Amino acid sequence: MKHTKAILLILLLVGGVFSLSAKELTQAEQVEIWNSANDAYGKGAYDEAIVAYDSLLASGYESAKLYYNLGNAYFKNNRIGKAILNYNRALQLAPSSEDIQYNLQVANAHTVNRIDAVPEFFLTTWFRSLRTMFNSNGWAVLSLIFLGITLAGAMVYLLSGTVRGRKIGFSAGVIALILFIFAVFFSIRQKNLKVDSSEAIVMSSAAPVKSSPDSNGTDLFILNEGAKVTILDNLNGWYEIVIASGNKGWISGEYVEII
Amino acid sequence: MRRILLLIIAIFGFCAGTWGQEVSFSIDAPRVAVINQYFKVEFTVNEAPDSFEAPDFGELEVVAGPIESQATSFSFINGKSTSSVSYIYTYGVIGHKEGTYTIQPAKVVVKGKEYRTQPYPIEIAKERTSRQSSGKQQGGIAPDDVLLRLSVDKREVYKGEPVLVTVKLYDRAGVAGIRDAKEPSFNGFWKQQLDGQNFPSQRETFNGKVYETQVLTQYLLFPQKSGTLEIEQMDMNVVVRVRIEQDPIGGGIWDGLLGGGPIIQDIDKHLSSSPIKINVKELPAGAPASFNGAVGQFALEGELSASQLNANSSGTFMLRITGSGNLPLLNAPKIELPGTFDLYDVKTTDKYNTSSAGITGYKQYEYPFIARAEGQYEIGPFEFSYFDPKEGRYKTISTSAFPLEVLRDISGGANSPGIVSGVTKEELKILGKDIHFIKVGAPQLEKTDSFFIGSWLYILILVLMMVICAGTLFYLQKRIKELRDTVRVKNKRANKVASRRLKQAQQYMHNGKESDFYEEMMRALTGYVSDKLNIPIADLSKENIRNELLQRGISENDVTGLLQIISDCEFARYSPGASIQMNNIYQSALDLIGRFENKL
Repeated sequence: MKHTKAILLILLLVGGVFSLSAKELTQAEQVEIWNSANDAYGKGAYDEAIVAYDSLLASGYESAKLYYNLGNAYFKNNRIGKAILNYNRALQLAPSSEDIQYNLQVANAHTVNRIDAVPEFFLTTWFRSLRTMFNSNGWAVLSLIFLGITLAGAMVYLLSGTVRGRKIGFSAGVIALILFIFAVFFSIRQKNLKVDSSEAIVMSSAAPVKSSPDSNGTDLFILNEGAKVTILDNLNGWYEIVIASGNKGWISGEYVEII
Repeated sequence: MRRILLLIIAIFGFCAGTWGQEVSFSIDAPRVAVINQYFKVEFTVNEAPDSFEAPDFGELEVVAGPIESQATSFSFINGKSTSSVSYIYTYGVIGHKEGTYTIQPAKVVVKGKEYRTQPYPIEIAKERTSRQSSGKQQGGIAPDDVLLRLSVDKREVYKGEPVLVTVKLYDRAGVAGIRDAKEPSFNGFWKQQLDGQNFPSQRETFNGKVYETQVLTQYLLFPQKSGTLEIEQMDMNVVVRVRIEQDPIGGGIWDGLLGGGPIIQDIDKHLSSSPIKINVKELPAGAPASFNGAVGQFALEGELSASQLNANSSGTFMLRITGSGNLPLLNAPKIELPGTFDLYDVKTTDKYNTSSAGITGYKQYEYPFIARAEGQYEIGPFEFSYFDPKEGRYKTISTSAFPLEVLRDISGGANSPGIVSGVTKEELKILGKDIHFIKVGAPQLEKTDSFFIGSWLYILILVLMMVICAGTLFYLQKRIKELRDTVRVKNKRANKVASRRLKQAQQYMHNGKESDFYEEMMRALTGYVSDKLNIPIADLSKENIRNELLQRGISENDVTGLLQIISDCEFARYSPGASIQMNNIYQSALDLIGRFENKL
């Protein structure tokens, strides 16, 4: 009885907070812009759609849908680099969306660079695919659920009169605790990746990668529009980047846009 | 049908051409011949003669012949072929006296028909005496009457600096023509012949003799290597027309009257020039990096086709080198364009004017390129270096820099060649596919970078959950304690208490205190069962012990064994001297407790 009351209280509180934040938006306006942008896209007026989607972003709001639609509009406008950038941003918010993954794959097929990725340690891949199952908020909610299970397990352990009950309570509590720790870790990691992204997309149709952060540096290789790079360092508007094949170099900041 | 008809006509036409011609029989001989000199008389018939009858030559002496010969001619004119065969009878004849003689008709029979030539008059005359006096040998010329000379304008040049070679014929004998001129091999030179010029003939004195001179040709030679190069000798055969005076001694009194002239004779003469050595100096050291062999005087211009360009569209950069020097030998200067530019094959156009002063003109290089990426670029400046042989030093000239703005590709990369390369099969499949449509419905907008994790709400919920849990535990604290005391502690303690009592019982057993031993054993077992089953000792009965133990998965055998030991101990306590072995009781009690401990 006591427990249900408590859960109810939490739910009420959470709901209240969310509805409160929703009320802050000039929601009607945003929906209007959103719909007009979608209409423009449907009519093939992609430039118009891009402007409208951008205005939504400029107002300080985002969603996976918004980035996805913007990416589509850019793709239709043959701006593959921008399309890939926005699909990547959408994926950060909805890492498991199949539509976004599919469109990103299509957009990547239109890029020039074919970078052979260095094989990765299987645990790293496995860990990353696990992490990208949910976005930061998804993991945060999951972490609370796991915490609940942990606490429930602890109570069962403490309150159960029988040895078997105590055993079940104990193991459920321990597993849930581990899961809670992972969920918190993943949530923080997903958040950091989004806020402080180290990945960028090449926007120029051909961007030279130099050996030094200087326009007179030797050209090491050239990246084409849509190529994904990981930023290691930056200096005077230049980024030290590494691409999937492991090649490193410096690229001028004007050629890339951070995800 | 029609074809056959045509064929028949053609055959007839051919036959007509071959067989339908008239028979002709003619004589051919000079009208005038020189006394005592051999001349030829030929009789020609155009059909195979059945017989030939020699003519009467009269006083003319036949020294040779008749020599029979055949001449076949075959002509194909306007699709019609004609063949003719001539049968020729040749005589060699000499006239020993002046006068007019007549060769009487000759006779041939062709297909049974007779043909005759006309009588042929020949005058035998004395040759006229030359009135010119000359020191020439008869039938020959002096060795220095005809000379071939090569002259050069410079004997010491830099590598790449042109040398003008003039080929001149010196003539005081009357050259009628040039038969074979063999051009010297100009090893080590790049040669450019000056043609299309008419050189006037001049009168020139050479070695104290007056010659008519004629420049035959001129060459511009560009030395390609340094060192002493040799222009080899030039060989030439000329035909000299020489007048040969008749022998005046043989002439009679008719000499002056009949006026026998001199004989004009063509004589072949071989000429060869002497070789010339040219000293070619190596270009001085310290050539600029952009030097690629240009020698002369040059100017450089650059031009960019447009100052603004869409990405992936092409532009042209033009370099034009104007001046005089070894222009035809110049290679396109290498130009460096920004990395995102694709440079294509250079197109070269040139226009030269070759004269004895050298090669002047221009060479124009067009560098087509495609700008791949948008941005602000600067094309050039490009340098060009050449060696000025007049001043003996290198000079570097350069174009100005050309700003170029490359705009975004309007076609969106459709012209970009990249998509084709390195596409895997799977990607090809995807390339043909369209992206999924946009998402409609609620935009589900959230404040940018609003994160649940770490937010006050998250922490609040976290803390709240902890507090609820802790509160619940606190509320149930008493029960937890109770549970801990009654269940856990007792259970844990049961074994300890039992083993302590069993030790005491063992002590008694050794000391032979029988009743104490049984009493201690009783207490140990009942205490143990009481603690384990959480039933007070007062409430213990055989029934509830049996029930509880069986419920907890203890086997029937063990339960019976335990109850048996307890009743045995009870019995032995009150009836001392019973035949029950203390040792056996003790051992089986230890075994049972050990087994229970695994299950309870």
